[in-house]
Amino acid sequence: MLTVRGLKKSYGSKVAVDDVNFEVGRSEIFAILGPNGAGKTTTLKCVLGLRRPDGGEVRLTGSFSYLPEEKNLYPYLRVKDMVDLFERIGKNFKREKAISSLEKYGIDPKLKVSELSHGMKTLTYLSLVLAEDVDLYVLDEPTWGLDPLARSDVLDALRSLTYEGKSVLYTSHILSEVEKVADRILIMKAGRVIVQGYLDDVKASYKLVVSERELEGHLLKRTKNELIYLVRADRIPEGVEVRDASFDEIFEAIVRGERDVA
Amino acid sequence: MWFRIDFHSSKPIYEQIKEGIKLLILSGRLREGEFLPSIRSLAEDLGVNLNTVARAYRELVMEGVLEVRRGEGYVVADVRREALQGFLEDALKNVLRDCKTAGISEERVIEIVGEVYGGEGGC
Amino acid sequence: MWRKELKDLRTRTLVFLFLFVGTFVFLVVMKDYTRSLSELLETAPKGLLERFGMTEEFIEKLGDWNFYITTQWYGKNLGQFIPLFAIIMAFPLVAREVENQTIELLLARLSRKTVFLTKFSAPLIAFSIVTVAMVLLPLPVTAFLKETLDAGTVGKYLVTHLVGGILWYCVTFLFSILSSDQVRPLIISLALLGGTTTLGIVRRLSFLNTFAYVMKGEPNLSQTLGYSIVSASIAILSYKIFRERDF
Repeated sequence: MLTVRGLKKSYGSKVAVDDVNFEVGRSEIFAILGPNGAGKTTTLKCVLGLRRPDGGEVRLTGSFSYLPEEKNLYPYLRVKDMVDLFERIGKNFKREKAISSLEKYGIDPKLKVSELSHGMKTLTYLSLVLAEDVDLYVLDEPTWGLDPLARSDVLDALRSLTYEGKSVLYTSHILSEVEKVADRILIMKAGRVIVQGYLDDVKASYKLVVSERELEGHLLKRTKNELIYLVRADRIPEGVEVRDASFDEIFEAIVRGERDVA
Repeated sequence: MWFRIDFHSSKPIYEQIKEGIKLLILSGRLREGEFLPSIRSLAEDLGVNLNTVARAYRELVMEGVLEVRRGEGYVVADVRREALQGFLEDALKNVLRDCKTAGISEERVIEIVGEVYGGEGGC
Repeated sequence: MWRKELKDLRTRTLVFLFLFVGTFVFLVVMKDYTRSLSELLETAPKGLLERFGMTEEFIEKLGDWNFYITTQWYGKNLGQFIPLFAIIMAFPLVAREVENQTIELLLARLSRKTVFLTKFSAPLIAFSIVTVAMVLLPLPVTAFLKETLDAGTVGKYLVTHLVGGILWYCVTFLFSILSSDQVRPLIISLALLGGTTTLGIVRRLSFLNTFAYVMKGEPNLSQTLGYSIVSASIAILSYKIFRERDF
């Protein structure tokens, strides 16, 4: 569906994305994670051709739709005007689907975009984007600022897209939500990929180790007389206490641990 | 068909699905030759992704727990109970290891086993 | 996208349309007062009004409809607003969408070529329609008042108003593409308009004085052709930049 090879992008002397490789398959939900400024949005924009990469290759077979990080619609238009606009410029836009989705979230089509709260604006934009019948949905922080119920609705909506053979590529800050919907994950930091794979495999391939001496691995935390490391499950040294690692701990240790090394 | 999935557990979700299905078979709620829900319908019921259910079914087929009926779906295979119990025995061993570290005596453990299994070896 | 673009430029276009029509009506009404001006001239101290070019001869000429409309409408009120009108029409086109981060909504769904062409042409067409209508406006009024107006002069003004206006439209559009906020292209274009006009006072740089070109209504070949070529080159350059730009 989507193949990205050796993607590179710099802004002046600052390298935003450095040698990023990944693939999104059919019916797959692919999540890109990472701290702010890791290069997630730049990666998405390069995939979509909104920004020109300095190197690498992006191959996308099929149509796509896009929800940007800033959920900005035209503030002077009414919601129903936005629906009309999507009907004219949207990709394979299904009007009824958008209308029923707006209804479900309780958004009055007669309201002006400028009168919507942040959450309602996001839900409006999402309703429009998800009503486009395309192969790949590229969503930048789709659930940011939504209440738990709306977020759960959105996650269900994303999942049901995959039931129809569609794929989702999205970014998120919320690990617990990624755990619920993502098939595959990619963790970025400072423009580079540090971990990627099926979420289930990533979870299974790391363990926490409690040690009194220093070890090879990502340091998660330090108590008075112990060090807690995240270690690959196949490289656990002898004679240490081994514990299961949660996804939060894996993420934290990997993202923070790299910083310790550097 | 429904069982609870813990998304935040360190145990992979497809593993949880596999164990859920094994427990249903062991408890007799799924019988040999019986059809399992389609991948899509189980995914919807559990609130998980298609690929995850597909992976669980695929691995269960490899372990001989399920069989594929071409064009019809997945059925429960003729499988030895011992083969299904492995994951429970592993879990028990882990708890017992913790008990051992915590200094619970073997006698006490056997006593507890007796209580749970209906008092045959208890005092 | 066309409908949205037209909606976007509706207010700006209507404001200028009303401004132009209002000014014209005012001019026509004022014409009858030119006679009282000559009375004023008799009572006022000699030399004071003449210093402002208000000689008896000039005021007498103002009484002539053809002279009055040429100098006061084309050569003054309409003419001086044409470059400003063009700049106001063009400055927010791309920059505002970049500033508000709405451009992504368009670019994710339409090709860059379509977005460029729609954004470039919709306001340009609106600008041209209003300009042509305003240049031609005196013709029916002349007929109605049973006056005479030299059609050749009107034709010449039509050329200079359009060529001069489109030049400033293209310049401002380029700045709108280069900029990420909408105030900058407006300020830069206005500064450039002021700067070139000032430089144009120097005799050898008079070709820079676009105001004089628009208001004089003498479309000499070199200036007309020069301005048109510059406009076209800027438009092509704008497209090249727009096609490659990061959003």
